[in-house]
Amino acid sequence: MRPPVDRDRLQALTEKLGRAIQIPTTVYLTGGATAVLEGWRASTVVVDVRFEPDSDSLLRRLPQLKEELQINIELASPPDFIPELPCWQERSPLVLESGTMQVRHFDPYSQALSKIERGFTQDLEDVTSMLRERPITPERLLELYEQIEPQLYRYPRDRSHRIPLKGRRCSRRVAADGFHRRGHVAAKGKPIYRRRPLSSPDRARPSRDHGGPEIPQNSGLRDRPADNTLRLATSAPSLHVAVAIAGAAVVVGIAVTAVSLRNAVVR
Amino acid sequence: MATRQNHKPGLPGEELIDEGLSDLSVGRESEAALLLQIAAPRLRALGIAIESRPNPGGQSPEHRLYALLSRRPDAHSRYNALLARIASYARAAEHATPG
Repeated sequence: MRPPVDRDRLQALTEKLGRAIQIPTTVYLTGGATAVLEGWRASTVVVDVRFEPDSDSLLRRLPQLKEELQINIELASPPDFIPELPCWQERSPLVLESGTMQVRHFDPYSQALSKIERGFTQDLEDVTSMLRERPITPERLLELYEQIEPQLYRYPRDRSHRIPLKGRRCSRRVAADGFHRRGHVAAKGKPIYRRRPLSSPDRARPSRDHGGPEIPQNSGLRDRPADNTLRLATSAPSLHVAVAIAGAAVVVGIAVTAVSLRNAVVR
Repeated sequence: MATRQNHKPGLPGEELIDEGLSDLSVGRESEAALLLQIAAPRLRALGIAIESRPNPGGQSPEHRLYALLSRRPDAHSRYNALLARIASYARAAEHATPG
């Protein structure tokens, strides 16, 4: 059995990838790999990656890397499960650079929505961590979801014509300036990933991430028709992702609940 | 005690639900029982009552399932297939649920 992958083994993988990559390539990490590097989990069973661009030589090298490092590697990323979110590349924070390779976390909003879509226990715990550590905010998550909602019909496997998100309140003070950096060590031994804001145009402008209007519990947004929309009612029994933002100002909790996708619109 | 309120007969993956509920009720940590814990939020929304349980040694159900499969040469493939199976069941059951 290939043992679970912790941070050290992930680093070994990125070093090997760096040596295998011959053309400028971005390696996007998703799911468990992001969670391990961010400290939300100690280890993961599988490392999901996406290469941009991919290359035959790199893909041919992967099976060898799996065996050498005894790591389960899969080519998977959020766009395999949900429509691509606009500007996801710009929201994908840099982990490290080594030679011609960049390693980035895949856009945390894309990760969060794909996790909510699947809705397993670990998925929802990861979303909880994302909200707590603030690589994502509930307001922006909703905005981005609404932008891809019309394209969900393209994912007939999921038939996720609505992703039920449930929230109590959204804080006007929620701010999200990237992942909390914990000094991930770059290939050359230098921590390169501390307190650097995401270089996203979305974040460069004043946005609802940084002081947008609070969404009242019974606002029109929450009262949208049930068909083909987010479900924001608070009655369904499932996981509540609660975030309490403590500060000098008001502490406001938010809750996002993900339950399974129901009632395909096309019937 | 794991119970089921809304029976969805005949769906692929049904056997995992039955086996998992049975194993959970007697505290047996089987592949099916762990799968139910992994997919618990989604299954609860379908009316399948699965209690939250503490993770022994801080090990998630995913890790415990993978460890359980570790004696097999195809542990990773089987792990993926089982997760896909339970997700497929949940999806089918959601679509079969009126409203």
